[in-house]
Amino acid sequence: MANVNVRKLVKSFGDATVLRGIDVDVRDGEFLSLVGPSGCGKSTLLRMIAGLEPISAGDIVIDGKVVNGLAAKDRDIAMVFQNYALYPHMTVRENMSFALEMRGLSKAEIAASVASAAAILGLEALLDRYPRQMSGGQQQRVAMGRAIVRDPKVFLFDEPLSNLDAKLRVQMRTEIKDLHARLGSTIIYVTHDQLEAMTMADRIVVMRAGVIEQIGTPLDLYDRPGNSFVGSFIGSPAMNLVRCTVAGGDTGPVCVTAGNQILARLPVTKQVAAGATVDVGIRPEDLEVGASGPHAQVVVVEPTGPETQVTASLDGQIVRLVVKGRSSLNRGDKISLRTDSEKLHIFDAETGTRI
Amino acid sequence: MSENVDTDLPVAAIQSSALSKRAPRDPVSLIGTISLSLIAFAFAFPIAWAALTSLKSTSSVIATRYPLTVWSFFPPHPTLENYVFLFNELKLGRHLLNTAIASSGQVLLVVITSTLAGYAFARLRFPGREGLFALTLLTAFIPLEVILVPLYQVVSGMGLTSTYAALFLPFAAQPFGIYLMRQSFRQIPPELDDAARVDGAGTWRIFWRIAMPNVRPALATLVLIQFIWSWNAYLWPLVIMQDPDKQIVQVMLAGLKGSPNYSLDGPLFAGLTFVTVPLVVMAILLQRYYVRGLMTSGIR
Repeated sequence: MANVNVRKLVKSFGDATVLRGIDVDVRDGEFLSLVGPSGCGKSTLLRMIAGLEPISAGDIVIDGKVVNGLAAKDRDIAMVFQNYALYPHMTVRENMSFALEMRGLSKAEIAASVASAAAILGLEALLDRYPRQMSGGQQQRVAMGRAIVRDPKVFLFDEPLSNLDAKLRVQMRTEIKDLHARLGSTIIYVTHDQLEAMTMADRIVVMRAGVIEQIGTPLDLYDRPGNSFVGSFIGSPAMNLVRCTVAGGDTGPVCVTAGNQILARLPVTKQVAAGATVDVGIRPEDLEVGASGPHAQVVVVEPTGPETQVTASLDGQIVRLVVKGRSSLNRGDKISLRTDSEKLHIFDAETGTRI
Repeated sequence: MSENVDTDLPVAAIQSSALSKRAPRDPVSLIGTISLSLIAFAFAFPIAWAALTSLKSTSSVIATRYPLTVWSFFPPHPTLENYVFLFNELKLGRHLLNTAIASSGQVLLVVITSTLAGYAFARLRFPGREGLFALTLLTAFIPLEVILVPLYQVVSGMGLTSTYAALFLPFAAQPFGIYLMRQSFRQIPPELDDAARVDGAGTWRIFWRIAMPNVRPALATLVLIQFIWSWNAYLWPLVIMQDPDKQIVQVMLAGLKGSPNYSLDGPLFAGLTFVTVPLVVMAILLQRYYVRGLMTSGIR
């Protein structure tokens, strides 16, 4: 197990810079998730840590040692790929043995390591199968087995669950989390699925366009997003961002929507000048149907069983609210929205920064 | 009730699909079968005729030529005398061995150069890669006849005239082979290389342990095509091989046709039939590889 420190890391492909000065410290035994939309540079960052992509500037330190010039094989890392990347012409046993063979371990040592990794993942019955003879879930498990068998300092996962169906994904999520708890290993896990990051990671790094937007624990990011991008990226359904103008009200400053409706009182802690344009972030579960408040019209009602997701139009802006249990609302219904001003997230409309 | 419906439906679907498989062929596929049979017959007929004729004595070959009867095709008195003559008098075995040496050398060299160059063009990053590959492909458009004289001079200058090496050395690098292997290596997902690098393999090991086993179908195709090409070579061996004992079987057989004193049609047909056998055997042995699809799984 090891720390991983990324210092002012830059990656350019010709004129295009895809990573612009990344700083991350991954603690020993930590499960760190890199999330962000496609093209944000998260996979490139992971590949650079793995040694599969050369570094343009900056340093990568694994276990106190700068590994910039070190080949992938000398970094003592293991990687699980999105498409598993199992060697098609090798059985599961051979796939798992390959790295140990490359290290020059004896046959007995290899057999013992493979057996123990197979036992951890319940792969014993599959050892003599070829990848094509297994389901996606089984291949995924073998890909993890191939990583575990080497007992590396750091595990790198590159969107390992994105090829699985929804049910299997949830199951594997639990398994990977359980595995991390049992092995206590350092894991860097790339995903575009914020739910995966939220449920699995100790800390999350949110990236966009080659820069880090915020680093924090899942609930930190959820409760106190540093900007409107993080706010809307973390959480499902996504946070509502309602563009408002700040105006002075009878009981203090209020947020006024485009249709001149008062959305909510600004929290007392927020210092915003009257006339400023802000984006008010409201989590869907913090928005309720009330007796009074700004009017909106229901557009879509989506029951999920334990709750109902309602999409409504508020002065032309789409907002979502989550109603506990069943709802009698229908498309076209006029509703009033109510929210607790203490739960609002206020962002500068221009910079997106949290106020 | 609804459970019954659920379980009945798939069974019915399976039954109907099984029935449709057993149903008589539709007219389109019948026409296809007939056309293919005709084409197969057109291809097989000359070979079969040659094989049957090889069992006739030379005098019988000439006697049954006109008028056309069933005996023009089938031997009235089957005999192996042509084969005995070929092996005993014309030393066919020796010439077959010469051809085998030339073909094996050719196949071995081409496999080595095509896989290495194909892999480099497909997987390694180096400046000028695309330009170099285009140049390599261009050489495919230069026919042997055009370079025959300069090639002879080069090989002769190296003192290789009438050596076995001269038969295959000039064709050690084949643009077609390099192209075929490059395309094939490109089909392997790059993640396999990444996984192997992380697992501790260097470029050579990735080539040998990961890439090569996954291009076996293309490799089989390359071996087969090169073997046929080299087995059927005629012009170059005719020019460069001046030692009759080391001459390849094709040139030796062609010589039979031009024999000035007496007809050797019987042995000629026997020889032609015999040299076809290795090609047929190779094709049968390797067909399961080249018809099989590439890279079935391990990657989604």
